[in-house]
Amino acid sequence: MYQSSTLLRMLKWLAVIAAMCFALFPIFWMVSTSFKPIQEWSTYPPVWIPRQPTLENYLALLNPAALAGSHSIDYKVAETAWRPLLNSLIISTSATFFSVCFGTLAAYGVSRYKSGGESYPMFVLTVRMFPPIAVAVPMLVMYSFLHLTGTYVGLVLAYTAFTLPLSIWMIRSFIDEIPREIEEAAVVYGLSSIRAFWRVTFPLIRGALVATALFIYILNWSEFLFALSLTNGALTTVTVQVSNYFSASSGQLYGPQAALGTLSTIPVIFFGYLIQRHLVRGLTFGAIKR
Amino acid sequence: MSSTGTLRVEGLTKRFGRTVAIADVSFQVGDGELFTVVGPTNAGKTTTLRTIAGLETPDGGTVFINDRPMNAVHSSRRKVSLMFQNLALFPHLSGFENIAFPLRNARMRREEIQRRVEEIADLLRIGHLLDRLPRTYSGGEQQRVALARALAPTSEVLLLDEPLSNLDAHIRTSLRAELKRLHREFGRTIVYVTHDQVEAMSLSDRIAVLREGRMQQIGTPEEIYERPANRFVATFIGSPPINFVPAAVVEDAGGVWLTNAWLKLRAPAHLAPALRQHPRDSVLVAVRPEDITVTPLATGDRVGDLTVYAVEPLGAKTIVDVKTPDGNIKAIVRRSWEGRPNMPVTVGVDERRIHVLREGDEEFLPSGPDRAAPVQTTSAG
Repeated sequence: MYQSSTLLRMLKWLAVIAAMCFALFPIFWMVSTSFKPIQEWSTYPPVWIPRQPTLENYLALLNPAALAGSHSIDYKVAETAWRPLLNSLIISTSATFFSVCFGTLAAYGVSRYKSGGESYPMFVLTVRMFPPIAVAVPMLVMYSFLHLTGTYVGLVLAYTAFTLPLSIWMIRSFIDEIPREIEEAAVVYGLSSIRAFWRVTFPLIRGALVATALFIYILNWSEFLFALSLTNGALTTVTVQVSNYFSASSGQLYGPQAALGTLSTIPVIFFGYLIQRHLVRGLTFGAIKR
Repeated sequence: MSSTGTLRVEGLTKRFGRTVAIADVSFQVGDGELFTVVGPTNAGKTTTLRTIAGLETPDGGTVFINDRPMNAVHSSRRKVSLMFQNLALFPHLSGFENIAFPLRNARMRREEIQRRVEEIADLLRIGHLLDRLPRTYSGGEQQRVALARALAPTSEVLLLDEPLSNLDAHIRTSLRAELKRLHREFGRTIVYVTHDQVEAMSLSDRIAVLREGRMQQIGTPEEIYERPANRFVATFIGSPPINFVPAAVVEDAGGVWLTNAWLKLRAPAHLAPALRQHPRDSVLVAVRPEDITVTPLATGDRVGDLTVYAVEPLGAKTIVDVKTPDGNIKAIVRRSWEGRPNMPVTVGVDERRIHVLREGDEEFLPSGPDRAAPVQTTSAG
C-alpha cells in the first residue's frame, strides 16, 4: 500500500515535470536567444545556453545608437523600444480597466436581472465568434473616417470592445456563484441595492475581477492584428515592434526579437505574481448552508 | 430594548410567470405574537416572507406594518429582519461584523453596537465566534450567528425562514426550546416559516396552513389540531397522520350511524343534522390515531376482520397498524401494549372526536361550536 502510493506520487511528479518542461521550453528558448550573439541564433546543432552571452540584443532595443559602430547586427530600426513598451502599457492597461469595469456592470445586470433577455449572453459572445480579421478592414475604414487611426483612443476602444464579451462571461460566472440572498440580506439590513453591491458583492468578487483583469491584460498586451492595421504606423505597440526587427542581409533579427519578447513578458509575470494571493476559490464558503 | 410591531397582510398575490406562488393570502399578526406559516414544499411560505420583507413586489394585495402600508417602502426601510433559509451570512465579515451589520447601517453609536452585539452573543452563546469568519463555523453555529444578526436590530417584525432546517435532531430540539424562550423573554413579533408541523405546533401562538399558495386555515395549534378546516389540514397536521375510514350514513330509531363492515359509530350530536340530510351517502370518517383503542381478542372470541399488521414501539408510546378490509389504520396505544402481528383485535373509536366529510369533498361537514358532546363509545369487531 505504502509502496504503491509512493510510486504513484513519483509518477505524478514526473508527469508534472514533463508537462512543465514542455510548457516552459519556448520561454527558455526565448530568454536564452535574447543573450546570444548573432552567430548562435539559428545554428545547427542548436546552441542551448549562449556560449558567449551578450547584452547586444537588449542594447539594440533600448539604445540602438550605442551599437552604431559595432556592425555586429545589421540593424535598421532607429526607434528605441521604449516608446512601443510605453504605448502597449498605456493601451493595454486602459483597455483592461474599461473592459473589466463595463464587464462587471454588464455581468451584474445579466446575472441578477436577466438584462437583455435569456439569450443576451450568447449574443454578446458572438462578437468573439467570428475572426477579427473579418472586421479589421471595415474598422480601418471607419477609423479613418472618425480620425481614430493611430490614436490611443482608437486602440483602447477596439481592445475594450473585443475583450468585453470575455469579461462579461468570466465575471458573470463568478457573480452567479454568489447566492442572491447575501445581497438581499444586505438590503433587508439597511442598504440600498447599489451600496449592497459595494459592501457585499464587490468584496466577494474582487479576487475574481483581478483574475479576469490579468486574463484580459494578457490578451490586450499580445494583440497584433488591430495594433498593426488600425495604427497606420503612427503608433507602435510591442507586438508590432517585434515584427519590425528584420534586416535585408540577416533576415529576421531573432536576438532583438527574443530580447523584446523577454522584456514584454516581465510585466505580465510581475502582475501575475502580485495578484496570486487573490486567486483563491471558494469565495463564499461559510455564507450559506449546503 | 426592542421595538415590536403588528403585521397585517391583505389579499397578497404573487405570480412568477404563469405560476401562482401565493394567491389572496391574508392574515394578521399581533404585537409580540409568534405566528407560524406551515405547509409542504411549494406552498408559498418563502414567497410570503420575501414579499413581507419587500424583496418581492406583490402582484396584488398590501402589507401593513404597524398599520402603515409598506408596498412602496424599500426593503431597507421596512424595519424587518429576515433570517434566510440558507442563512446568507456575509462570508467576508467576522461574526461580530455580521451581527453589527444592521446596527452600523442604522447609524448606531460605536459603543452601543459593541454592547448590543455582545449582549446578543451572550444570549445565544456565540461569544467565541465573534472574531472568526463564517467559513470556520459548524452548521449549528452558522444558524446561531444568522439568528443573532436577525435579533440584533430593533426590527418591528422578525421573519424566520426555516431557521431550524438542516440541523441534526438533537441541536434542532435544543434550538427550538431556546427560540421559544427568547420569544417569551423579548416578546418580539415573529413570523416563522416551517414545513415541520411538529415545530409549528410546539412553538406557535397561532398557525397558518398554506397549500399551493392558498390559505387553508388560521388558528391556534389546538384549533388546527382539534378542528381542522379540511382534509388537507387534517392530514398535514399530526403525526402519525389522521386516519380516513370509509363508512355509510344510516338512520334508524336509535339515531344516525356511520357504519361499515367492521365499525359502527353513532354520529355525534353536532354532526347528526348535517348527516341526516344525506342518508345512505358514502362518507369518510377521520379519526386521530390517539382516539382509537385497539384490544386483542381473547381466544374463543369470534375472529373478526381486524388483525394487527405491525407494531412500532417508539419508547414513550407504541403505534399499532391495524389491517382492516378498507386498508390499514394507525392507532397510538400505551407503550406496554401486548400484541403481535396477525393477532385478531377489536377497535374502538372516540366518537366525540371524529370528523366527517362526504366522499369527494375536501371540507369537513359543518360542526357545531361544541364538539365535546358526550356520546358513549361503541366498538365493533
